[in-house]
Amino acid sequence: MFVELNELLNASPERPEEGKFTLLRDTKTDGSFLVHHFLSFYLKAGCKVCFVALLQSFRHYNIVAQKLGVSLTAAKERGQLVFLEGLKSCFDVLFGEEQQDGPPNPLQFMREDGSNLKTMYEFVHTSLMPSGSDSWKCPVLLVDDLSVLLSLGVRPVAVLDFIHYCRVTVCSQLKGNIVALVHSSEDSEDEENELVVNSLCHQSNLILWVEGLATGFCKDVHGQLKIIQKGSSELKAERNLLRIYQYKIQDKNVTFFARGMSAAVL
Amino acid sequence: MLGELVAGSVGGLVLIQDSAACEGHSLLKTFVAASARRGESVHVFGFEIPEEEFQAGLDPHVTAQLLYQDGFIDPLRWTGQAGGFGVEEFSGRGVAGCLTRGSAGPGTIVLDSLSWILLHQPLPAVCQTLEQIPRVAADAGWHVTRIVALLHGDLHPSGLLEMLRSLAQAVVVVRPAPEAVGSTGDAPRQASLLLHKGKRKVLKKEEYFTILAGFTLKTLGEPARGALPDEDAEPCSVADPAANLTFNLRLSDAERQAREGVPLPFHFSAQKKSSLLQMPAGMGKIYYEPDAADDPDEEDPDDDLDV
Repeated sequence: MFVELNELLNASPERPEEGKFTLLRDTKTDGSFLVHHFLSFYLKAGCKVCFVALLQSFRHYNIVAQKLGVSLTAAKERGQLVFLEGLKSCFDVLFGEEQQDGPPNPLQFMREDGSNLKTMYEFVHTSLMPSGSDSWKCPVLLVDDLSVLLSLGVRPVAVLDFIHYCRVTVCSQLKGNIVALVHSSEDSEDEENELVVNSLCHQSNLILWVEGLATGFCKDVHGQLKIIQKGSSELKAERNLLRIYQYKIQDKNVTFFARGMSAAVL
Repeated sequence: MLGELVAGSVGGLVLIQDSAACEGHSLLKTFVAASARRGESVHVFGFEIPEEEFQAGLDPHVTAQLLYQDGFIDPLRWTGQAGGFGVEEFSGRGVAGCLTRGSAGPGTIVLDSLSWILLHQPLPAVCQTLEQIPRVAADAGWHVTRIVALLHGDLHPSGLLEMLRSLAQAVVVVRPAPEAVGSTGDAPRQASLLLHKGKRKVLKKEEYFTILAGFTLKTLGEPARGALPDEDAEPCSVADPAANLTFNLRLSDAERQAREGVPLPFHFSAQKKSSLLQMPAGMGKIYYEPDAADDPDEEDPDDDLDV
């Protein structure tokens, strides 16, 4: 986890917020450093985490997490982390033998017509339901990333339904948090992806939007982060709060600074 | 005019169109609170947010009058929980079936949101349902005066939006107001109203408004004439580069006078002249006496310049 980002978001692993949906959105750059941040943040906070990892292998996430001071293998053994390795499950669904008994594969939709993600939701539901023995703090669902589902042929409405049901279970009933990454680019003309992104923007409480620099690649500034804190409509109308920072990704850390205030130009 | 709309001057379908940049939930809740205060029964079909979140901030006597159909918990019947409202039940007959719990007086139906329904049902079916609800309800003995629906404008193609706008009696498009309007704590919004009056007359109007605690509407006047932004232009998209400078771009009169009072280094004043000519007392002088070891060079050092 990156301490500077915690300060910007006013978050600390001692008191994680509850019932929030955070949308990570990246445009023309890679926002996965935020996924690594939230994974290590919630594991350090002592939350029960269900990680739907569709993009990379377990080894990849484990190596990055170790750099950030968290061991995913240990967390898995403790029962704190439930890891759905999409690359493996997907192989099992397509080429493995069909299981007759036991729970269905979460990626079962790939064999069917992709019309709904009910099996995946049920996987999340059973993973995060508190059992009597464990004493973890609020449950957390982490998804990396939703755009992969669209590439696998799932209809956008099915993705939105999946997130809807996860919000019902995780945010509303269990008072936990959801963090999901989506890719977006405004000029891609990918209407399905834009529908998912816009709809999730309406539902989320916090949007972290990572963008590549408009002026192109730079050695000392890797991109800019827009933090959009949605004004809640619970008590009265509130304005959305927008803050913009630039960042530089280092080996084990990410530094954030105001626009134009990179150490390299000052 | 927005005030009259909230006060219930228009019946039929009222659309509130919002976008991700400016949510319309608070305006929807303002309509709900106003209807409940008038003593109407209010049926809310909520798909997007949990019931507690919808009722948060509303007066207790308003929430007492709400009849909430929970479409959030299990709209697709995945978990098989009892109760709740499934999306497939959203038809004229299904909605009217839920109304039986309410009083027979005038009633308002609130859809939160129509976008959610449109993603799960085809447009013709939704339009038919919207037309059928008042009729089927009237057959069952319930008087539905108004249907207030929230619509997320950025989720649908423009053709679909136009279709719904033509169906609606009134459309309110909300967007963030320019920075200069209202105080910052107020979260001012701009509403573009489109009102169908009678069969032929269409009224268009722009208004600023904000929503105070307890969901009461406060109008902040209208935009100045000629300053109306056209539909395509995004408000506040042109950032003012001089807005947040840490230094002044312009001088005040006092600052300008102070600047003119400063003597410039090349100005030759009498005071400066006298200070240069007068030898200050007690100053050291340098005397130079060449000694024997010095080797004076008789040759002109610049004689090669004539070449």
